[in-house]
Amino acid sequence: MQRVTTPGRMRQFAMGLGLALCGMAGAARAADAVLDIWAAASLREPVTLLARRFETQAKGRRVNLVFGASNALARQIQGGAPADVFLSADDLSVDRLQASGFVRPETRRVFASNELVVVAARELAVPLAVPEDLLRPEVKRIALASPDVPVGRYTREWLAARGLAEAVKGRAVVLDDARSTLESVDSGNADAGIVYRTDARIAKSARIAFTIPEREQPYIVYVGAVMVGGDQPELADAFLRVLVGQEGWAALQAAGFLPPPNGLPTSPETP
Amino acid sequence: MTGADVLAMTTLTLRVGVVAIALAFLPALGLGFWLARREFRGKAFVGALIALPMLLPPVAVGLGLLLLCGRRGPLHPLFQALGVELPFTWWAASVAAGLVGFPFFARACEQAFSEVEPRFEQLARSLGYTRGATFLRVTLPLARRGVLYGAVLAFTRGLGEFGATAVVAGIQPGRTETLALGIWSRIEQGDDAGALALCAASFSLALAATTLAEGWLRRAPRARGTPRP
Amino acid sequence: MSQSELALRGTAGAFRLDVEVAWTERVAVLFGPSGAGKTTLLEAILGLRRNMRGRVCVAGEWLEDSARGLFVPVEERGLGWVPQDPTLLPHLSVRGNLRFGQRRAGADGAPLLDRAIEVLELGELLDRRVDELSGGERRRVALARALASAPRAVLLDEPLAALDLPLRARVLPFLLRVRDELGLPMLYITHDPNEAMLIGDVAVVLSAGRVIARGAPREILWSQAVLPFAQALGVENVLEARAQGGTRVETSRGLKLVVPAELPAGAALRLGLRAEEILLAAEPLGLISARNVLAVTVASCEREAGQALVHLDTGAEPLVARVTAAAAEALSLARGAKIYAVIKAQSLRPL
Repeated sequence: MQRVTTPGRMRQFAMGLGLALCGMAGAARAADAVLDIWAAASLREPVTLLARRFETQAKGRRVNLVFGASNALARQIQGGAPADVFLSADDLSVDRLQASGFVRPETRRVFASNELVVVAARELAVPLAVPEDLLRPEVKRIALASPDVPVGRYTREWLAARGLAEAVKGRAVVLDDARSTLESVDSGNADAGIVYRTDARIAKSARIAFTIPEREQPYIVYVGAVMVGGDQPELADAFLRVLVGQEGWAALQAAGFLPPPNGLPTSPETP
Repeated sequence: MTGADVLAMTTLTLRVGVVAIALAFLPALGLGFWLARREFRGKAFVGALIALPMLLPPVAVGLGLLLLCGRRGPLHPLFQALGVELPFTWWAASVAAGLVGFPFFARACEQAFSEVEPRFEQLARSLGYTRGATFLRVTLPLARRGVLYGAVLAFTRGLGEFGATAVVAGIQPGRTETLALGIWSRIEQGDDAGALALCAASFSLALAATTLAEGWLRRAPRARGTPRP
Repeated sequence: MSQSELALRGTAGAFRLDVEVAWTERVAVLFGPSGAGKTTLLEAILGLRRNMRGRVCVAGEWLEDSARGLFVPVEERGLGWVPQDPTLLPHLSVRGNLRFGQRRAGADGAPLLDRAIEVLELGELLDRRVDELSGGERRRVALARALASAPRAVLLDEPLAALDLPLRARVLPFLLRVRDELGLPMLYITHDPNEAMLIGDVAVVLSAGRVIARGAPREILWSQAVLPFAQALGVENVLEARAQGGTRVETSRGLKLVVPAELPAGAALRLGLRAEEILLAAEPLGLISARNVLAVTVASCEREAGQALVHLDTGAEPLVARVTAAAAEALSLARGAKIYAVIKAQSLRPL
């Protein structure tokens, strides 16, 4: 009588498949080094540019980019998301990560600043020249980012300082991050909004109504650091050096970013 | 977040859900009846269209709504005429919830109406009832069990609606922040305790709604034509 | 007497209807075997079949005339329909169903409804739910509902079909009461020749979608045209009689018969006698159990597929007997033959 076993052929096939999968994974690992950069949404254009250039500078390099609101990114990193480099639109998010031991403190650098502007939808008929114009009845909806994200916090700092917080509140439409705030004005669904200058520049139909006066601008800093748990420490250092160097600043400046309040940073130390 | 906040969000969610069903009610009845009674070419296509909000990712539904009903959208003049702004208002939340629940509602109605034997309608008409009167006094009462079931399905689906609502209404505390949206933003903020509290509220609301509905369903009689003598 | 007229042509699925007939009698019977198109025709009269072309006039009221472009919508035809399946509304009580029918009659409906309830003895059932009713009760409610709507005519689709004998016996009197006491024009569909002869003033015979005969029920149902399916229907003899005391009865035309039970003198009754239960003998049989032996003359003998339908002249009521073709041969049954008809008392069944 024959015993009933998994046919020999099928077992061979299963083993072969398993080996192939391991091989492929290993091969991927061996072939390309992937650098995971997590960056604030407002940094999309310059960081993408720098990342692509970085990839071409040596063989076998790949950069994986994740953009979003800095606080949301920080929270995910804290939850164990794989990031090699974190570029935040505020110091608060980096502070939080540093306090939990995710940051290599010696790599921390402030590399840029930004300013807030008020944008107006294409259809808005009334002029917006001064902050008080936001209170005009024709401005029915004002797009603000959520107070949890950096640009939303900066916005509310300014509104409070200007005494407009209460008045704007009733007409505020809250969005998740800088880009969606801009998008709502760009699509005409909000009459005006408060965003970074760098975002306003890429608007399709919304126009910059006015820049918030310099002395009223909140303290906006962009902070970058290498993460402790990352698997590409050398690449991470290399990229950060590029970012704070001449090449990086050229890209940032071209996108409309301002230099950091205390001047351009020095390169991170080579370990 | 206080107990009062939770209650406020629950009330908002309830209001959004009820309005959503109210908005979906007539179209679901009408389409369900039409599909149950008429044969025509392209019927399968219409069925697929109705199922669309159920097949698409909810965020895609939200995007579609935004593009159609936003200030520059083709349907905007209609809303303007009604004096309603859609994006970022609680109306948007209701429309989104109604839209994602609609396929369930319409299908359930179609099923319910197709189970009402045309004989009953023919009889009513022979007794002098117009088509409309027949629908109201015969078809609908006989189908009410299935229709109610569809409404409950759509309602509970709408209660949990997140993706479409987030896109078209945004998370506006006090205005469009339903329980589902509230849970998400608490998670975003790292407020796990708050998120859990809202989960509990969400669960209670859904449980209450389905229990009530079960009670109604049990009382509505099964209407399946006349049993054999 | 107002005229009713039907001239309809059209298809219903694979079935073709091509009907042309008119009558002035109040109570018409639409008679024919299953599948003849009776229900289809009824639905067309109601206006439920829009693809039929032609003319429909019921009791003097024109409902449809394709030539003139007239098509009265279903809800305006004012007909009282009692479908084969009672189709009571399950979400309403009996009273609810009756009121549902009454709505068309409006204020005038109240006395009509009361009359219907009285005639059909529905008083005790009014608050019952539909699923609590028996089959016969359902039919009575369906009939009352149709009557309560103050129809200009009542259309009944095989009201006694699918009912067993006791139930038929219970419901039939109600039908006859409605016929006699309410005076409404009626169109009564049946495939049972008994009912056809009992109920109608005129019979329209339908077969395969066409009218093949029209006339007084008694005569029509014996006609040549009807013969092809007479066998399938179990043609019977129906006799109106009056009891003479004891077990003797005399039919309306003077035929004397013996029935199985004793009846009080003067009682009126109807008797059914199946054609195949009449024995024919060429000679008298001496002492036999059958209580009725009649000397008859053969009026005609029609043969069809191994069976013979023999029309008998008793000198009073005509009778029809059925025997095998071989038997008809053996007895040399032909017009004018003088033979004996032998009928057991038990074969005479009260209807």
